[in-house]
Amino acid sequence: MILTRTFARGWLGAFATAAVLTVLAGCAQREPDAAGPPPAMRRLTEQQYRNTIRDVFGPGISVVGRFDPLSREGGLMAVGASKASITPSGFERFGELAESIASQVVAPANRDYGLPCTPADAKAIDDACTRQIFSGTGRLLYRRALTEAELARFVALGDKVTTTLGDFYEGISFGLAAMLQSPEFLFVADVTEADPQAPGKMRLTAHARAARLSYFLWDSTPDDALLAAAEKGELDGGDGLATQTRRLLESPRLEHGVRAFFSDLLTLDAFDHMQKDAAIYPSFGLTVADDAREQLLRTIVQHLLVEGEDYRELFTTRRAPVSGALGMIYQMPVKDPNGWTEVEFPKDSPYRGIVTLPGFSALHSHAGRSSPTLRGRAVRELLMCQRVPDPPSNIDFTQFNNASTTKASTARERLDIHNTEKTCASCHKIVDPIGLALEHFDGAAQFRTVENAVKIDTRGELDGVKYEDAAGLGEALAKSPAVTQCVVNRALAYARGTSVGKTDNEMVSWLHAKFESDGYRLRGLFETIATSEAFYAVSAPKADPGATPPANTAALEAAASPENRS
Amino acid sequence: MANVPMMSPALRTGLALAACGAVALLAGCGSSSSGKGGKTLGFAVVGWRTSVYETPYMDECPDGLAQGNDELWWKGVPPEERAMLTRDGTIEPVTGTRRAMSVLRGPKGEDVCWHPTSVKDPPLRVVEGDTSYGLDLDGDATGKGTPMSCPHVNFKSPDGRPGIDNQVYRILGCTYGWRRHGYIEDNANGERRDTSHGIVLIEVSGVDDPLNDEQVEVAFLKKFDGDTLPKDNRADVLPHATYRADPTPRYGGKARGRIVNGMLETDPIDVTLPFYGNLTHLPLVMKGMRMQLPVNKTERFVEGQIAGYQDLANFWDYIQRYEYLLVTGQFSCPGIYVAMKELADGYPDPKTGECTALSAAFTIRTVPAFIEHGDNEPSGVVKPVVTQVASTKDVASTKDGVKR
Amino acid sequence: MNVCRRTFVALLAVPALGAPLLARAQAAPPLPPKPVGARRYFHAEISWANNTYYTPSKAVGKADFELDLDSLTLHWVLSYQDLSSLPTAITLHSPAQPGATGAAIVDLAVPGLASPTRGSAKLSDAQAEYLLTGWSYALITTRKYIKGEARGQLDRVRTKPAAFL
Repeated sequence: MILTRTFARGWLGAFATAAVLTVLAGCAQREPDAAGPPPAMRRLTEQQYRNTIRDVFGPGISVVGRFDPLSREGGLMAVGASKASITPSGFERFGELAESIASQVVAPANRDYGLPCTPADAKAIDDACTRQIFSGTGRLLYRRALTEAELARFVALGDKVTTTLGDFYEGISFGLAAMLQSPEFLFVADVTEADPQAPGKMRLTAHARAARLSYFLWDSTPDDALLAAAEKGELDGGDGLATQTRRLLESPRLEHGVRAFFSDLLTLDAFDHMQKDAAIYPSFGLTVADDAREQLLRTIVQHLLVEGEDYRELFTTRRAPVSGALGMIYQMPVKDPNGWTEVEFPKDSPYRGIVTLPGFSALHSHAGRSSPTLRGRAVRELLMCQRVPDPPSNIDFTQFNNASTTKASTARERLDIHNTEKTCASCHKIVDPIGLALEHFDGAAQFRTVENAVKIDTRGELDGVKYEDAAGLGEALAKSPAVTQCVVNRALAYARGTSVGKTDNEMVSWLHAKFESDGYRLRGLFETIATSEAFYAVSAPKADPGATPPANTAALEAAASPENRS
Repeated sequence: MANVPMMSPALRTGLALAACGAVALLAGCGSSSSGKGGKTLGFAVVGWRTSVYETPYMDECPDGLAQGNDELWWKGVPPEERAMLTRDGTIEPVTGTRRAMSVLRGPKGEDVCWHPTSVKDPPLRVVEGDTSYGLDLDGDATGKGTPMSCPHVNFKSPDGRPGIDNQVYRILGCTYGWRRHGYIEDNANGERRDTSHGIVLIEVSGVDDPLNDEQVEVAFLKKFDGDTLPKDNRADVLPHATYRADPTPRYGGKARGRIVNGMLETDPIDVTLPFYGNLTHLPLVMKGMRMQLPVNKTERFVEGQIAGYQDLANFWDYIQRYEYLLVTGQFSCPGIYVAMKELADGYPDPKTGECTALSAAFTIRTVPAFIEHGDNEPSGVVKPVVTQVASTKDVASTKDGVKR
Repeated sequence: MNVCRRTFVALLAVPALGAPLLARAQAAPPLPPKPVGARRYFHAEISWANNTYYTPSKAVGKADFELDLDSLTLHWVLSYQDLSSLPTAITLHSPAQPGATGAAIVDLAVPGLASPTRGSAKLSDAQAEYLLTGWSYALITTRKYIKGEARGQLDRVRTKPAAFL
């Protein structure tokens, strides 16, 4: 008895403390302590690569090529990037891109714009100009100033090429191409140093912090001002870091970061290989697909960034921009058939919330029909961060695919038959009810009330909340704690490039409480993350006795330079 | 309405209205609607074809198809000379050199498309069949003529209705280029589809019931050339796109109409429509034009008919501009010129009594479309009758053709 | 469209821009049903003067044709005179307008080259179509004029020629 009472009192105390803490969490200023993940190297994504080239060399440089895909980890390519390596063919492609970009930069039409100086003689060496070009460009591409040894190597390379080919700009071109193939450019490395304020611990260098901040908020390389702040030691913490963070948050370029985050979160890269059956959905051509992707991002940016509204309202909003091509899918007129028209759908319209936009419903469908399972799974995994297991490899789909023999007209009926198998039902029951609510939208997001002449039934429930249709599903999502938890979870993982694990639970709770008290505004969430300790925290990696030592960067660069390639 | 289906036309119009309401918040919606209430239906004309009735063995042309300009030229040149001119036939009819030679066959080297009366060609082979597409435009089946039409032989429709007036068919019906294997209409349709030029928009407003409605208003509009016709992967135009109406006052008109059992019929109006085809932009000047179009269909493509009188000078303008198709279309200008003046059957000139227009019929192919008017009033003023041709004696005496 | 039609199109050539864009969009209206037992008639005035190259001979001739449209059988009677030399072939050619040339499709001298020659042959659908369109001609080739000495376009006639009565 005594044990029980003590026990109960102990637990009671614990609960009371927890309750008080939770209540105070919203007002608590103190961020929980958290050990950071080990440092990593992350390959630039395609969009980051493009943005970087645009920001360093100007929008006139065209980047045409294919990029090795990045894998997803924890739902994000930003995390998968830390596991990325470069295959030999991928390296070749980066090489081609590098040469193409470098030759454009030095092309007569562009060179005055992109390069800071002109040689005395275009056919001869001009070391002063060469140094100026390589040090300036190198700083922006490597996200730190080049060392003297590095700079000397590039100048030597440029001189050698200039002498051989009799053209100053060829020398520059070779040097730039070498830089663009270097791992120092292609990978954003978490370079660390000893933390003077915490002996025995590590922290990111100022340059590493600048890169992390810039790629998070602007999805691009740190600009000159940010690099200068890093060089002056202003990013080591305190006011300097806060000033820069605020600068990046207040810039219109924040839109790039928001777009990149949601593109990653919502797997919009899948549009690159999405194809619709042209016989079944003739209207869903390439323009419609591009516009669907863009519409989703514009809706998100408008709602969360421009208007600074509640994240949960993304699932119930009736407003979206509609292009001329999308007007055909919606079967509605648009004011500007060659641009975008802001539309507010009427109260009884089936179009409510981003899961009813073509960028979601058509993306998560098959080529020739809708898919309640794919859509339900997408909601669970992308919006609620809930893992749905893959189906086993030995499923018999004949009953599902053959409507005529089974007398199943609608997807619901087909799935009911499919789910008579207990092993199938266990997973399907957590995704199908969600996807079935969206069945009014066919595989091309076009509205319909019947399938095979049978009225479509969109009723279902989401974790206990019942709904009649897609609008109801949107309301249920808006009320679901998992949805807001998920975006916080993903935002933290995206920002620091590492999956969120058990050790981050306190941090995530703290972030979520702030998010909630702030009215679920994304800008606030990004600001909280960017100004948190956890954003930059790193811890020493566990020693791996079997690991090979990291390669010598100089040796890698030398191997990459064009003169050494066969 | 809770659920808004796509295909049913009544509900499609309902959606158009609902969507119209939706867009109205931030955009002016169809500002030009009749304002009488009711729904608005929109169509884009994506196919336009001169209606030519053919029989399997070309019996409507008992002497064979019309002789082309090259043949007429060739037959008029002595054998040794033409063998030299065509290098024993190796310079083929379609080559530029030979086309130039063959059309400059006036006695003083005149281009016979610009000087059609400078030569006396054998009479044009015209249609002698008794059946044609089209409508009874002058309300007369005897062919004796009326105050608004000149005496001419009437046709009967394929389903047996008498009094069909279609003199354009009579003139062009035996000409290869306008028949099913000729390219003139196919090519024109392809070019319109590819360039999105010369497209007519039809806006039907005040529709209370798409099956039966005693009074609706129909506006014929020119599509703004810059708005592309979206196409699927077989290059067929897609439905439900939005197009802007071109406010250029020269084109367009409004007509009263009615819907009977789903078929819309419009009252005759004088209207200038845009036309583009075979690299030729020109206005299509119609008088007493009417349309029949089913408006309650759910199919993507719906065919209808437009019939009326084409201004004679405008018709000649059209033929002249097709001069470069003389060989591939196998036609000849002088024969058409003489025939058209003889066979013109509409709008007699009050002074000379000669008719100044040709009865015509066209098959149109439409897709549902939305029409935006922007801030401009649509070009929908009912126009006065087009100025009559000053003299029908020699329409093509000047390079410009006709004084308007 | 079959190969023959495409070849002819190439011969007739095409509007300045190149291959015409066959609009799938709007096909020509459907034809009424074919009348049964239909026969159509053609007459050709054959002459040295009708070749695309100069043949200064005196060769002339006439030919009458009956096309049975149920079986697509062509019957002909052809006669000639004043050839410069022995005839080597009498052939039907299409598709070509007067003033242009086409490939030989039917041998009109199957029973023999002597005048008059009469015979029958089956045509394909396309060949019958060309004939009705007016794009067929008869050609008499001789020893002296190996490309053809006398030619006559087959023109449609309204009444049955005497040869077939």
